[in-house]
Amino acid sequence: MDVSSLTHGTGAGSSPANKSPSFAEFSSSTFNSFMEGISNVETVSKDVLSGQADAQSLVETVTQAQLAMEAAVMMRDKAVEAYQEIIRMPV
Amino acid sequence: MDGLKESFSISASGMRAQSTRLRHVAENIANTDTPGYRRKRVSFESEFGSFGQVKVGKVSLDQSELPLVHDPSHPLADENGHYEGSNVNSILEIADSREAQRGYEANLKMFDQTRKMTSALLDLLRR
Repeated sequence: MDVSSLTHGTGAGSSPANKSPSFAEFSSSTFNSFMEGISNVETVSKDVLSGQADAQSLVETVTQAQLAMEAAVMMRDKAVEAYQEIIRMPV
Repeated sequence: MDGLKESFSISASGMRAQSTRLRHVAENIANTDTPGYRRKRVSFESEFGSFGQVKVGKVSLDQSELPLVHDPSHPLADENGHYEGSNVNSILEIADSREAQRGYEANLKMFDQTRKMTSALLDLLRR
């Protein structure tokens, strides 16, 4: 999962010449890597069932997908919360 | 976040390497009484082009002398009643298996710790 764009603002590990990505780009890239994690889990569990891959790969892939899922859920919650805040503003 | 993600892969590769080592220990122990069997030894090496993962290198055969076992009734016995046994030392193998277990547990703890750290980081988003 790629949340490196989360740290870009603090300058940790990113070049200072980066311009900040828009929220739409950021959320779509997060979503893409999340979907990639999910499809990885399917592939690896199929391999483990057929005896190709070993259990460590399975645990590794599932853990990463689970963490990506938690991050995605929290992103969604924050986005919904922000939307509701704005909607609640008196006209 | 990439540092944490790489930690997962590295710990997983460590566990894989230790379980391969355990597999060879099991093979050695199972073949303790096989005539002419030389015990297998695994060497670990750092994987090229990757960020510090470990992989199992060449499996080499222990070239020390095979002990001669005296048993005239054995089908492979020569005219003196000796046949070549295997150079597996059970005590050595058991100790090796304990080391493999400790190494595996250490990698597992690392994996768990990485997971906890990542989870704690993502918890910040909860509030």
